[in-house]
Parts: sequence; structure tokens; C-alpha cells
Amino acid sequence: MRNSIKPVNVAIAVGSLLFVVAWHWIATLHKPRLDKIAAELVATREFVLAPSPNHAGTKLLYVETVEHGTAGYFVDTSSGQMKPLANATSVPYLGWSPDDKLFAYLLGSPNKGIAICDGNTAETLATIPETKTVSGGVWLSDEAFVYVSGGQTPTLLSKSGGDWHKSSLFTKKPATGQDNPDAATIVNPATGKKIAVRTNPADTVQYLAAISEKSVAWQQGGAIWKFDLGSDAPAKIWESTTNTLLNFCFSGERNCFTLHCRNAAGEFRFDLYPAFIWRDERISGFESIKPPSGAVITSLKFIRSGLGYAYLARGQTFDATVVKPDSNSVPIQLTWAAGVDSDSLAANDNHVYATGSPTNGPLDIWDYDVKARSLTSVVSGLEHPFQYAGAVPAVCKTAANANGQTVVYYLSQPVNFVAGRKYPLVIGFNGVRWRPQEAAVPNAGCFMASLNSVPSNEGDVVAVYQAAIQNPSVDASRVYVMGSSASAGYAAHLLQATPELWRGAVLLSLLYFPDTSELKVSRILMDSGVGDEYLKQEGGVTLLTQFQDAAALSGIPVTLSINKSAGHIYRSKIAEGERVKQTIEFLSTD
Amino acid sequence: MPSKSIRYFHYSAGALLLAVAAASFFSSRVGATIILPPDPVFTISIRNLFWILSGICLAVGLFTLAGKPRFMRVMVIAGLATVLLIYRLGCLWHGVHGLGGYLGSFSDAFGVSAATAGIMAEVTLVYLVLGSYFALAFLWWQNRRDAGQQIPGPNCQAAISLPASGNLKMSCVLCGGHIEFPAHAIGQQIQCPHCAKTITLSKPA
Repeated sequence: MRNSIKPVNVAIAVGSLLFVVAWHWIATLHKPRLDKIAAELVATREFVLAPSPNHAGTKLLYVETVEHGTAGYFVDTSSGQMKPLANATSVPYLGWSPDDKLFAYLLGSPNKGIAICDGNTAETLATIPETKTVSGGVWLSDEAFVYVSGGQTPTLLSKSGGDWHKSSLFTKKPATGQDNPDAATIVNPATGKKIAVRTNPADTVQYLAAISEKSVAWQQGGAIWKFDLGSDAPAKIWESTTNTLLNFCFSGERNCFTLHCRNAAGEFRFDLYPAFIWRDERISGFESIKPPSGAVITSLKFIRSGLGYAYLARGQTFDATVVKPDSNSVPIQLTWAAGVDSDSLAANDNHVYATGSPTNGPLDIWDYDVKARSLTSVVSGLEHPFQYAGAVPAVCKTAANANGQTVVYYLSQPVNFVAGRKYPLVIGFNGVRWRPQEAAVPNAGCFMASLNSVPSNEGDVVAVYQAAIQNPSVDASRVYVMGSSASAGYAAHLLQATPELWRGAVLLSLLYFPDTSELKVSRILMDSGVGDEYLKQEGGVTLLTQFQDAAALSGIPVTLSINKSAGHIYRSKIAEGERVKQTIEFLSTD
Repeated sequence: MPSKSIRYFHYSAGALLLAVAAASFFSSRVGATIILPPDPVFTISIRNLFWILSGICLAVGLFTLAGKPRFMRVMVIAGLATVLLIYRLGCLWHGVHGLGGYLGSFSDAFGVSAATAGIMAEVTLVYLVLGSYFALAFLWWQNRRDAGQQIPGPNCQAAISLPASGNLKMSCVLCGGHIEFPAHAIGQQIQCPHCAKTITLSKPA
């Protein structure tokens, strides 16, 4: 036996094993680099809603997603120094005191309440328990702060004897002849008869504004209310009739309200001098707000004591922040080539803040100085510059569908693109907004064509497909469709409706499962969180494995990744990192 | 010539089985979040099936290359090939026409498409089945042809009858170890494979 093992047999055994090991090693040689790319992409900051700047524009509070949810930070914009805010797990921030000495923010679970902090050091000076939902606040002075609890109750926090005390802002009903904003029943004041019952007892109290150290105003439905500390009850000072009140501000310097309204003709602003302000002319400075052609106005904020305003203009082919310093100046348009976040606009008198990306790559928090007319990144989306990953610009393109209608999409070419080579194409529905998941596609060596949203018919996708494959560098035999949640369902529908188009699909947080016998794809990547609450309603993770089994039976390999620390939406960086890694590895092996 | 082909089949089948063992091992190593489909016949995880296949192929591959009697080697390969063939027929019975749907992890581990991986698996199976059955048939035929053949003894020239295997067996006069050798080698001096001392091959008593 010992002598029967010939050297040739040993050589064959070792050779065959080495051959397989070498093959595997070569095939997976790029994976460590892909893992690093995925890690870099998800290490970027993802900001949540709008930041909260102080009045001087020197400090900023913001929220970003972190490993287990969200966390708030305090930033000194001049030095760039950051400090985490204890237990600041969500918005809203509750504003800065008039002299920026203090700010407040909402504490997350389990110690729900309001934290009052030093405006220079972010040190917590006091915490006030509050179990109800807090939806906004305004400082009247360093010693008085009004916030809205439970959506409808203005509450006063006042400081006396070194301690903060909480009390209802007012206890009495509004003055005679005025609707009680909390009333469920509307009574005709002339007859005293009940004329209607509101389905919603009262509108939400929002947009609190300090009129003075002793007076606060707020919007409730289409009306503006005002309350003077020490008085009996709030008074309605304005109510929309033929128009819709969208928001308002008050300028102590100009001693007037500025209102932002909308009617059939569009949006407009005007100054209002209510009865308690002495003036002959009650309304002045009417100005129509005209967005750039093809865009809609969102998130308008007043600047420069109400003389100017800034808003987010969302168009089909562009996103921009429009800043109009005053009625006589020409609007300044800041275009965000790689997207801007809705509801990310914040402003103080001379600064406008937005979370966007003017070129490409992760979104930063930007500060536009209205006086200096300069745009500066105050919080970068990149903690460290990319070493392995790349950011490529997305070019806005159009295609014509079968009905002759124009379909807009954004095309990004692969990172490290080499002319003359053929690359796979991935069609998605995320628009131009930079996100790690979509950025994974060019980093996996694929073209990415992204429609603004899920279209109403698949003809639009076919039009984009046809237009994109005209690019000589696109390999028409390797076209994938990618979607997450609702768009994953749509992508799955496309696999069934237009099976001949697709080589494969990346389906994330999928809830709709196509009939595998009708699919012609070669491979599918599916990634879902085990805590997906919507999937649970449909039947749970079993649906995914059943789909995988059925697909395997039809000869379609499904790479199924089930993330134990994620739900329907991936908030954790580890979970998102795993998803991005799977996507990059999946797409780069074709 | 067919005897040479059988030797090459041994080499290639041994190499192939070791390659399958290694490939199955790498295919079973997938990320922690990855779920592989259950196999259609036993409904166990493909990951576990890869582990089992890896172990069996490693054992058979090493056995094949370890120089056991060639009839035994071919028998073992044919046995494994038959089991795999039955498994494949079981897959067909369950409606699995192509194996690609179950070879996604192989595809990822080796950078080939799942369809190609499926074809590779089918080709390997066909080669092992046909090769082992052919070799088995040839050896059986050779054994039948040579059984009972009369040849003159190399020393005394007396007629001797070849046993069915075509080989003679004796025990080493020095250590008692068993030695198997072809009949035409009677009278040759060799080193005993067990005690390494020089002995003369002789007709068994």
C-alpha cells in the first residue's frame, strides 16, 4: 500500500486541489476590494431632515443616521468641531434663544423630555420631562420657551429661581366671537347654533414665532393666533379666506408678519400688520413667487426678516435651492446635480442651509451666505475621502416612449470606465439622489440608468432601456433592474411583464413575488430584513424562501440575503453595508 | 491500449473528484446572511449537501489515486457515479431540469454563470458514469478472457493456470506480508513492499 502511492498520483491530487483553489482565489480576488468599497459607501453620513442653525450662523445642530438609528450632533461651523448630543435620537430640534446662548432639543426614549443646553458648549443645563409628542418650539427670551405638546397644546417653559417650570400657555378659551382652536364643534356666533362638527377636533399648532419676550404667535389651520403672556386667552389675528396659509414669520425689526400663501394663481407672500401693530396700511409687499419653469415650490423659508425667502424647487430634470434675498433682487439658483433632500431646508436671517450634493457624491449640509453670496459645506457627508470607492456624475437624459412622451432618466457610467469595453446596465427608480445603494452600481462596474420614480406604465422603462442600450459601451445582453420596497415590487413586475429584457434583478425589501415560471432571468439578488413589518403582514420570510425554491426549480439561482438586524427600511449602517456589499458582489460577478 | 485508458481514467476521475470536493467546499462557504435553497431531493440545505458531497468526493478521489487494486477503484467510482446519477434522476423526478438554480453559490465562488456551473456538473456526472461503467465492463471482460488460461511456468516450464484476476499472490518468506504480482514475474527478484528486503517471486504453494 505504502509503495503503491506513486509520485504521479500525488502530483495529480495536489495539482487538482491547487487548480480549484487558484480558480477560486482568482475569481474572488476582487472581493476584499469590493468589501472596502461597500464599507466606504455606507460610512458616508446620511442626514435626517433639516439642520437647526443658530441666529448668528456659527453653530448648527443636525441629525444623522448611525448604527442603531439616529443621533444628533452640535457643530461649531467655524472650527468644524462636533459634539454628540446626549440622547438626541430624533428631530425636532426646538430652536435657539434670541441671543444664541441656549438651545433646546427633544430627548429620545427612555427619558423622554426636553433638554436645554448651553449654546456655546452644548452642555445640558436642564432636562424637562415631557411624555407627549413635541412638534415644535420657539424661544421668547433666555427665560421663556414655548413648545407644542400633543400637536395642539402650546406649553410654556419659564425659568424662575434657577429652575425651569412647565405650564399651559393659556387656560381660558379664546375671546368671544372667535373659534376655539381646540373646539370639536363649530358654533355660529350670531345664532349660537351648532353648524358643523369637525372631523379633526382641531388643526395642528405649527410655525411658532416669537413676537416679543412676552408674546408668541402660531399657525393653526388657516389662521394665525397670538398670545400675550399674562393675558386671558389667545386671539386670532388673521385667517385665510380665499387662499391657503402655508407658513409665516414675524419680524421684530420690521414689526410685521410675513405670510406665505397659495391660491389658484400660485404662491405668494405679503406683509401683514395686524390690529395690534399701529399702521395705516394693513397689508403690503405682495409678491408672487414664481418657481423656475417646470418646477414646484417646496419647503419655503423666510430670510432677512421676511424680506426674502428661499425654497426648494423640484423639477423633472433638476433640483435647486432658490434664494431671493428681497423683492427687488434676482433669484439665485443653487442646483444640486446629485440631489437634495426634501425638508432639509433651514434658514436664519442671512444663511440658507440645505442637504444636497452640487456635483456628485454623498450629500453635505451646505450653508449659503446670502450677504456674501457664497456656498460652503459645513458638515461633509464624507467622514474620510474615498480611497476605493468612486463617485461619478449622473447625466440627465431623455427618452421617448411609444406614445411620444418624454421620459427623464439619469445615466451614470461605471467607475474606472474604459472606452471600448462593454458593461452591464442597471435600471432603477431612484432619480439622481446619491445613496450608497445606488452608488454601489457604478462601483460594481455597471452603468446605472435611474428614472425619477416608478413610472405609471412599463413603456417608460422600455423607452429608457432602448435609449440606454444605444450606448456602445452598454452590453445589451446584461441588463438588470433594481428596486427597493415599492420599486422592487415594480421591478419584479417588470421581470414578468417584459421578461426578454432582463438578465437579472436586484430586489430589495420585496413584497410582491412574480410567478417564476414566467421569468427568463439568469440570476436574482434578493435582500430583506427579518424584521420587515410589511413582509410579516404578507406572510414573513417564508415568502422569500418559497420564491427562492420556486426560482431554483425553474433554473434561476436566487442569492437570498436575510438581514437579522433590519426591518423594511435599513437604518443600521451594518445592515445597509451588508446589503451594499451583496449588491456590489452580485453585479460585479457578471 | 484499453488498459492504458483505464489508467488515465483513474487519474482523471481522481483529479476530478478532488476538484469537485474542493469546489463543493468553497461553494458551501457563503456569507452569514445568505440563505441557500434546500436541495430538491432530500430537502436539506444545499450548504450541507455541498459539505457531504465534498467529504465523499475527497474520500473517493484519494482512494482512487491511492493505488488500490484497480478493479476496486473503478468499482468505487462507479458506485459514487451511480449514486450521483440516481440523485440527478431524483432531481428530474422533482421537476429540476437544470441544476443552475441550485448552484448560485458555486457561481459566486468561481465566477462562472449558474447555467455554466450546471453544465459543468452534468458533464462531470456523465464522464464519471460512462468512464467508470466502461472501465468496469473492460476489466470484467479482461478477467473473463484471462481466467483459466494455461501458461508455462517460467522456471520449470510446467503448465500453470492463471487465476481469475490474472495476478498471483504469495506471502513474503521473510515478513509474511501479502504480495500480488503478475504471473510473468515469477522468478524475478523484488524488494518486499512491506519489509523492503530482497525476495524472489515464486508460484504460490
